Amino acid sequence: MLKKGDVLAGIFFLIVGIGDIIGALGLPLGTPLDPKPGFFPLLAGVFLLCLSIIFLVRAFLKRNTERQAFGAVWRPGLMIGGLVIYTLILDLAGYVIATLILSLTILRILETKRWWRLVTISLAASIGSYILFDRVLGVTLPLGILKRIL
Amino acid sequence: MDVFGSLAQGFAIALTPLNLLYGFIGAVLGTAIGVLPGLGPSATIALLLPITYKIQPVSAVIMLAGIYYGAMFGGSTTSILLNIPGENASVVTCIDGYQMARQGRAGPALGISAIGSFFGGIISVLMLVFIAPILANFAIKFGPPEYASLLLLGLLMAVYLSSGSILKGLMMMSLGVILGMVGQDLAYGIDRFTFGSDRLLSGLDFVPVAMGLFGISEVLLNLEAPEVREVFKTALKGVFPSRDDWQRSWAPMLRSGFLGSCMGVLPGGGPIISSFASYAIEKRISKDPERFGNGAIEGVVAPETANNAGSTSSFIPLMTLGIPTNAAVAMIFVAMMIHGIRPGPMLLQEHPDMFWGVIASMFVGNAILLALNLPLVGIWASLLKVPYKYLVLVIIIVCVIGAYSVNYSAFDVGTLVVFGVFGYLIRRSGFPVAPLVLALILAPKLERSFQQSMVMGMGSLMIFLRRPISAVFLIVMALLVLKPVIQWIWSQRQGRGGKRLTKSP
Repeated sequence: MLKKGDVLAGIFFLIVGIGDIIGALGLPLGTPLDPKPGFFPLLAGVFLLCLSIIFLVRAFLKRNTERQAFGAVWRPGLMIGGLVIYTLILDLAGYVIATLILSLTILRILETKRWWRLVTISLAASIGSYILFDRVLGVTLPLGILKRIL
Repeated sequence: MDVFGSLAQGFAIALTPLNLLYGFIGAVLGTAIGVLPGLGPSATIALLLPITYKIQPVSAVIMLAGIYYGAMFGGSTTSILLNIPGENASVVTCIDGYQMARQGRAGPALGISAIGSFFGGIISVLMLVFIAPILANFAIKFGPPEYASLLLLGLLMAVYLSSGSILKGLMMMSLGVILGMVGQDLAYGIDRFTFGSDRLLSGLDFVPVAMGLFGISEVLLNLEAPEVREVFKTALKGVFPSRDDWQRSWAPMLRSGFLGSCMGVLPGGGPIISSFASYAIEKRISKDPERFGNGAIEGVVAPETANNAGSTSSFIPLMTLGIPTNAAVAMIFVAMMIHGIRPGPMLLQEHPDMFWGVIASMFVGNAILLALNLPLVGIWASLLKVPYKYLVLVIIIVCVIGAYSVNYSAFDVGTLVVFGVFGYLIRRSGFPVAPLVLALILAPKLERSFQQSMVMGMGSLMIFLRRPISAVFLIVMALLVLKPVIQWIWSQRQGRGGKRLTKSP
């Protein structure tokens, strides 16, 4: 039984290495004795490429009998989804609304049963943090569509 | 000026009300995150980086340093009461600490941890006071070739000495070098890996990258299995160790203090290795090693003394050579850079206020921490009753706002999320994050000093070997890299003799 995570990681590093080498070859390379901007990236890329090949070969050879202890992947999965959506809507929806949604997601993931508690804490967290950072500490946060309403 | 005069000036800086306040905040925050599992000092310092923009640089570093060694104080509480390490440097403390708690001796275990941490810290700061200036004056003569060799050695040591797979560490290091190349090359004015984006011209911003790799990824990892915490229910009576405890503890305390101070200086060293090494040593030299694992107080005091000593002495390479040796110190390095202060041999001359102020603040901070941890340990333990979800909420909000505030743009929030997810996935497969961060910070410097060396050496690599200091660094590096080969040859020889001592994996 292969360690799937190791193989995927190995492939990822392999691709990054190759991509980096291609990118570096498009830059002026110079020579080792007169390194130009492409030299170091090329070196690092070749190094990474070699390492990932060794890593992948070892991952394939070393049949892992023990199963990796997987926790519940759905929680981090949902959280990542929440964060991605947050990034996409931050400018448009504004900080308060985006954070409200994110907070609802977080608390729901971590089993907050009562809905009124969920909403109260999320409202408090989003509005409270907005007031603290934007109004008190002077970190300007985007208001988004709330700007038109207020 | 002599050391004592400078130190006195440092105290004058560290004892101003404002700096005292920041030192206090650092100590409190550090203890808190030390107590709470699932949030380490590197993550916390990364989270607080944006907040330090508006603070005076010296105060900022005093606070961040306080968080770092404060976490070493707090970490033991969780290890002893819950058998869960509060942070990585307190993993070993669980073994005997939890046993002591089960035997109804949680109080003395917590007490001796705080006292040990205090002594470890003081031994280490004293070393910092006397050795750092000498080292800085020595390093000031370093030219680009010495620097290039030293940076490379530092990076490799950080990978080789840290626990875990060397191969994985090297891969992360290479990736860090590649990421460090992103942006406009200043010497030639050529864009590298910017994909036509103006955002990337000045390189990747450390703050969202670090917050993602340490903060967000840690949360995501913990979300897989939000642990159920059960605080060991015991009356915390009498945190002061008995006379017998003292007799057993003072020698390990001294030994571990020195050991931790020395190990903390090494790249890849620092508190975690120090704690493991000191435990192993105390167990080996103990007259009755079978007590270890069954609630031996030496097994608690040794790692707790060593980890605090190790955390403090990792400031030596930072402040004298400009080389961060582990992730938490790397974050403090970034904090200094944000304020336009370059850590390194010139720090002592250019910013003596920073140098001596921070050192003096460590004396003060350790005293504050002793006072905070000894009598108030019960309060800290009750922190463990706060549900994890609220902590998650706070971490995420601080991360998001912190990333946004770098350039007031959602782009950096995107960077935060990308590196958070990457950090999560890669840590899940057992890749260490620290080598990437160190390489990301050091790669541009390594490149520049290499280019300068080539100009100096008129295009000959021999310049690295002709200069004695640089040659020494390279020899150490070669030994490090060839160590597996040497070990392999050694094991073959042993094998031929009919006896196999070591087996290469």
